[in-house]
Amino acid sequence: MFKKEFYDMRLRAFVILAIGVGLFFVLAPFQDVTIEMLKQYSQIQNMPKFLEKLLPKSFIENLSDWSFYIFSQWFGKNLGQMVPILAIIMAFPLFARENENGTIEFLLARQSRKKVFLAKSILGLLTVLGQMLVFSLLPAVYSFFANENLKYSYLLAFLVHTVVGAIFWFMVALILSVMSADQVKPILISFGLLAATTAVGMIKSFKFLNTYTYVLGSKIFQTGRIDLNMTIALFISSIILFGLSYIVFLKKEF
Amino acid sequence: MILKVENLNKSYNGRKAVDDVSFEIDSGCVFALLGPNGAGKTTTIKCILGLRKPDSGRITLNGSFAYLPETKELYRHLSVEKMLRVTSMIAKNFDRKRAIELLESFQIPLKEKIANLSHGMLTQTYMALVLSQRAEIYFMDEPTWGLDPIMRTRILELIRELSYDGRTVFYTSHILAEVEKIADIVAIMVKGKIVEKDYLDDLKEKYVLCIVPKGELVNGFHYKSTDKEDIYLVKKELAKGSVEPATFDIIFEAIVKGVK
Repeated sequence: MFKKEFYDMRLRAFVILAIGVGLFFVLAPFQDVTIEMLKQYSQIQNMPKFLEKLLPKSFIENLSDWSFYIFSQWFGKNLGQMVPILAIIMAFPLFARENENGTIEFLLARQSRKKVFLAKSILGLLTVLGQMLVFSLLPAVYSFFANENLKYSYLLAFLVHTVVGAIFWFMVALILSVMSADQVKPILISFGLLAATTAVGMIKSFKFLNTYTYVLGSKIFQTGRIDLNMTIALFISSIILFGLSYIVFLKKEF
Repeated sequence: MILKVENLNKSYNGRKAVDDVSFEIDSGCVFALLGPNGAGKTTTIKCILGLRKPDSGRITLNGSFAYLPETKELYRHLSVEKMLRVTSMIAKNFDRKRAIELLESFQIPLKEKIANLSHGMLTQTYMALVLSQRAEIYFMDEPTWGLDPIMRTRILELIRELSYDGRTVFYTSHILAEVEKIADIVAIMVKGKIVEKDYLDDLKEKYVLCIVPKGELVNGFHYKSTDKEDIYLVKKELAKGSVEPATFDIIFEAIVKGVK
């Protein structure tokens, strides 16, 4: 069963891995170019105020520090923005595609519901975890070969935020995939939820809803530590979503 | 006894799809469940296999099973050969060599993509996968639908061979002629209920047509009327008036039409 699932998702998994690694190598070797570009922007005469706020001089100066550059531009921007999206892309077709194509009967006539659910969800989750580990550890590997000095204590915190954020959005898309009879609904609703929680989370009283604040590591930049409360909250929510997905799948009619 | 269904009930939005259905099947026989569209045949199979959740009732399945669904959907992006590989990854007791032999005998190209197969070829491919799985009971929902007559005969032979080999077949079909060829026991399902179940030969012996003057009431299934006469399908012992033998087609039609 695991073999079949790997067979199904290998293309998607490798494409995502290639995109992630590609994005990293578009960023990491170009620290000087990035700083130079940002400096040029900041020197524009009569720069609008909002742009000045977006590009404070201190921020550009900090980018000269390799650790700050890689944490802010990779985890805090490129990878961070992609984490929920990549997790959703890995999860949404797992069950919905079988439902839509009518092939779920082929599986359930040969394997128990428990085995089908566990094979699909666990392999999907392990693949996402593998991808996130690779993406999160790339800065360490690159820094080692490029002789750059990286603050490894921060790396661990970003790794946890990336992995937990990915697990949470994987589980959101997973339950929608189990419930849905087609592939369009789980991907649209997942992205809709991501957009809605991010937008509503910009209101002060609802800021806990904004998972991007967590995934991009705002608290790590502020405190130098993992955001423990949010980590636990997202992790527990993920376990609940996983349990619910399992119950829904056991009770679903085909 | 390999399968026992007791008081099975299943409704969709308040409409009864399966209404207090009970039956038993012994090992090694070909059991045909017949009925018009929407009679509840597919729902009954799906409830037995756990694909649908019964509202109530008890199902006892004593053995491994293989299943050919009504909608024959396989992984369209795979070639037939890769489909075999995927099946051997997930199915227990799957004989890949036997599947290749069957597919070759059906003249299905192994390199062809599932998406490019015609409906008939897809049914044959699915059938080859099911027949290559060693099981004690085979559930086949409309296995010959959309096949040409030659291939239909070949599939019926293969189904018959299963029972010669001591395995059980639970089979649904609309085509009465093929049921007559292979079924040992026939159950007729109408509006969610099994209204008749017997050995095929006994069923044909059990019923006759009786022709009575128009308006005369007979305890049986009204089959049709002429200007002066009514024709009923009745059990032999209840026959009156002019009596004629009933073919299996007539028995089926009269029972289906006669259930209110």
